[in-house]
Amino acid sequence: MNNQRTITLIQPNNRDSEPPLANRYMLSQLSIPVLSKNILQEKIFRLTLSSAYISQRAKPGNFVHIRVGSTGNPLLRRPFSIHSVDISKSRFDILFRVVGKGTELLSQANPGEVLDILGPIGNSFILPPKSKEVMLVAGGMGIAPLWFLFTHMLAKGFDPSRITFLFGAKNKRELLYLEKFKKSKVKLLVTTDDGSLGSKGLVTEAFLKDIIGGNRDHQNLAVYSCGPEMMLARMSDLAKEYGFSCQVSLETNMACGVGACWGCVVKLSDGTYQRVCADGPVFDAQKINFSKIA
Amino acid sequence: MKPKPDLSVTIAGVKFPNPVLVASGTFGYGEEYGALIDLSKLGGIVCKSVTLLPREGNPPPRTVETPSGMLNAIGLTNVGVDRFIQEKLPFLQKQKTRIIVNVAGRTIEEYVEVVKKLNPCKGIDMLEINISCPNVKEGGLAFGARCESAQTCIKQVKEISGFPIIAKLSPNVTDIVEIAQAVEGAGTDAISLINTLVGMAIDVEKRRPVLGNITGGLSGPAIKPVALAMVWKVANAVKVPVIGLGGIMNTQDALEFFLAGASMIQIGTANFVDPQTSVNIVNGLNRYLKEKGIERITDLVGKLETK
Repeated sequence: MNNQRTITLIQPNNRDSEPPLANRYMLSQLSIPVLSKNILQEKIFRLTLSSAYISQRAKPGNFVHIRVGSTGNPLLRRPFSIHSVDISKSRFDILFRVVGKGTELLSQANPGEVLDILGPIGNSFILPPKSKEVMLVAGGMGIAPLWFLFTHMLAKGFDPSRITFLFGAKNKRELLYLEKFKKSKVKLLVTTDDGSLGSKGLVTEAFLKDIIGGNRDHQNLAVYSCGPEMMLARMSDLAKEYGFSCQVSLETNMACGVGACWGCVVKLSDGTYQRVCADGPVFDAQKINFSKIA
Repeated sequence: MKPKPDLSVTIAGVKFPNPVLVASGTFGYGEEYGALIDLSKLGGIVCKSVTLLPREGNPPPRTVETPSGMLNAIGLTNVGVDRFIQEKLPFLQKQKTRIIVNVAGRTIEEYVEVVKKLNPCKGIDMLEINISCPNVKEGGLAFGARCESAQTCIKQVKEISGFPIIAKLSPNVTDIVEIAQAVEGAGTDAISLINTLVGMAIDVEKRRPVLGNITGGLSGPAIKPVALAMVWKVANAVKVPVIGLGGIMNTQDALEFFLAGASMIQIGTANFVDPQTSVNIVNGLNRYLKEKGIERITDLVGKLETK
């Protein structure tokens, strides 16, 4: 394997003028050792992986495409958002829930094991001007890329008191990082399906209540969201209705992960399809036609 | 010191440095994989199907994994032949490998139109005529499923093509040998097989098909035995070279196809699993020939002993 051969797939002419879909850079196939494995909750795992290459290049929203087994079953790689990065220690994390064969196998990877990984892949979230009020809306494992975005923003000097983080999960055990949120001074609103912590119900409805009740200037909001498809469909509807900017990170079945097969497409409002792997995974929520994929 | 084994293969006057191609639809237009593998190590690239007009393709979901395989129903998404020539071909022309353009159409006239537009282009070595796509309503498999239509399509394309052509056949037929003989009779320079097998996956909770197109094409290691049997049957029934594909994941698989009678092979779904597969197989074939003291890869073709 040729570990460090890279080219730029799409070279943006000007990052500032053409930011949203411009971040397809430096894709490489790497052999990456697992440094540690944390079981955060039942079936929720965090793997820390050792790669200077990816940690130096990853931006919030990027993902990696991991070969989870060496046999034919499961056959295809699995995509995972980059969850956090530590450049000084040359490592990055992925966070996932065991939902099927692929994640089951990956959850069995132990420190020292070497994984075959393509990355970093995809575009990234566009950071807002610091004058904007930032709202991050995560559902369940949607915390994975938004945590990276959140910590990246703090590192970039965003004022945590101007960031609202809405986090919904099945129950309080799956509301990860509550201590870390508390320390960060961000405004945190949590919801759970069973009411075991925060308000009972959907995070999207807590979000709606906040933006219509809280004297918010919708034009001044920069909203970022990731979670189940139904949730993102709702966020897309709200973004269209209230006119706030909203970037969502999508998840789909994926085959190649490099833009070649056109298997992972999402339908846009104009009727065209775009690839989640190569044109996304971050999209403008207002431009997606979720009715066609829900 | 023994001389390096000769992996080169010549088909219809086109000399390929080695017999390992990457299959249409799994490798985009080459540039998508340019960051990951050394394209000059490939025998050639068969690019994604090109049609007369741009095609958006089928509604998602378009892929789903199945045991040792996957279903796809992409629906020939492509930019159309004009934009292909302007935007995609220049990258391919610069590559130090052979370029095979895969052509599809809704009608025979469309196939002919696309080929006419490609005829003046430099940097194309062969065309692969896709009469076997299972995921479009018109064209594709509609031509490849019957001898008469397959023959008519290939004949008309061959008459006007400035390049040697390969007819890509579907396994979703009663007798693939008949179709192979029909396209041979129509003048095709080579035959590639197999395209995907029609398949389906169902979501029991939703009581709905998993794929937006309801059915899709099955590929991957699950179909290798089917592909191998069909390659063997066809190779024994036609004189034109046969290009084998279907679930090839490694050198061992590749060798099976050569023994069954394939002159060349294509790597498809395996590109998704490991982009290095095709290059690994080229290296593996080299090693195998060296170890066995076989001078040329062509010495292996069709050497299956059945008696």
